[in-house]
Amino acid sequence: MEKDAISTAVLEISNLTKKYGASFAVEGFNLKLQQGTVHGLVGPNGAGKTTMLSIISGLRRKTSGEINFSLPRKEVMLMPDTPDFFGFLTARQVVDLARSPFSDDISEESIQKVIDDVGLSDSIDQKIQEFSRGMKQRLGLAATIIGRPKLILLDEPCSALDPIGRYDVLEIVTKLKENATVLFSTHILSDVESVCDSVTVVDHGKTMYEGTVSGLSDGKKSFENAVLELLRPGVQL
Amino acid sequence: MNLWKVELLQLFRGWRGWTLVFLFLLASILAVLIGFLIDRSNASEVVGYVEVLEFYMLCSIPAGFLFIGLVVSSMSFDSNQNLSIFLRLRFSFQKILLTKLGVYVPLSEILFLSTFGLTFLVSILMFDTSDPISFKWFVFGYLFRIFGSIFWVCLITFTSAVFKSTVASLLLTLAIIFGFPILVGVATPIELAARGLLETSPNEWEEISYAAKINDWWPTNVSDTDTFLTVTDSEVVANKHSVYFEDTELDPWFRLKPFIISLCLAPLMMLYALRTYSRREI
Repeated sequence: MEKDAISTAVLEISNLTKKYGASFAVEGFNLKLQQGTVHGLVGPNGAGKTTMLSIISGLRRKTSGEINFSLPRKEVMLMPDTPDFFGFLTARQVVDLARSPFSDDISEESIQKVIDDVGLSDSIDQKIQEFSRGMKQRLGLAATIIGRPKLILLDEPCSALDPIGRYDVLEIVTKLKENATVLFSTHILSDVESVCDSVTVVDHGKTMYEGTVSGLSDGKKSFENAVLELLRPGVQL
Repeated sequence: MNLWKVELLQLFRGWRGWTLVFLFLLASILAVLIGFLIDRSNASEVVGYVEVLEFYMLCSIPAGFLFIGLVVSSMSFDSNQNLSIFLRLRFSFQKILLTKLGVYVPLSEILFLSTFGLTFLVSILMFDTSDPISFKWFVFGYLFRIFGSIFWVCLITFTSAVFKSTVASLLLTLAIIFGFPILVGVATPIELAARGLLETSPNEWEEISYAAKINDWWPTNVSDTDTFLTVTDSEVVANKHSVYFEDTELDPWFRLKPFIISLCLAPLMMLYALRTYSRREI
């Protein structure tokens, strides 16, 4: 039974392409996300990671290709890399607003729990305009997971966080795969090693590698060096 | 927390909503004050409460402009990309737009009616009431006003959809409201001069000038029908209407042309806006 669940693809992308004028932001991207896994999306700036996540979440349109979900679109939620909210609201109100479309299924008590989970308990009634970027990123994660989505797209969720914040977020991501599938874009390669079951390395909108994390490092070199060599042959840390 | 509460909090937790309320109240106070000063300074001219209501409508124009600015800024929610992502991932754009319109349209009418009513109450106590407002014409004018409000909603939704940026959307709105009439105001004498008709009386320009004729069809002029709100019983008998002490013929269809144009444009602008919002990439 468990084996069946694991082999179910939540998201299947084939030959996804996004063009802006003559240039490709994403070119022939393929991805198959298995249920209950954390998949890393790694690549340098401008590789097309954010564009891919925006297309999957429906914020941007694809130029061509196929995207198939095995779950309703309302079960897909994206956390952008720089989440922003109404500055006059408190953290509690923001998470409550994010809960409002699901208020029949998710109780008000969940707000406190989710905010505790992302480490914002002390600032729960503080206005967002007083929040740092790192705090907004934590709040963005809380607003993303409050609706209990089944497919979570995280766009560089640790980019503005201190080491403790990063640790907290990676803990949450690990826990999330019990009930959801996570597509996790990041620059921080050690984060991918820590939490991801599989990884896609992209550069200039093209897939350079797709497979398991261990498959890339191959036991001989570190994951970081393997990714670096893939992106810039001849360069090593 | 829901979208309605957020919209109201955004208005009244900061300066926006309160400034709007203040400007409407200020219009009411200024109208009474102007009426009082004219009444005291001019013994031959009796200021009636109807004139005070006309002053109120003149003084409430700045509040109207602030209101337009607030609505355009609120409707341009895509101008803040990250905030827009938060909203659009959780709520449909139709729900976002409907919430905003559901807050702003009633708010504008509540503010207008309450301060109009306040001015009415104060002015009937302080000024001449021998020539009362014609109730039928008031209702007729108010129906036009409601139609006008719907047209303004469509116009602002349209201008907010054309550009992502709030400033660009606001400038486009102002260009439609003021820009074109100003352009026509400049073009009309130039055209008449070129045709050797500059000596004609300005009252006849609307009949002679092609530029002025175009302006006659300009949809935002439908709001001129607000003058019907202050038609008095004696004016109905005399078939004339005095606005700011100036007499004109009392013609219920004097803004029929812009009414027809706005009736045709409103659904088109709304359709364009809905299409643009639904297809916009964030």
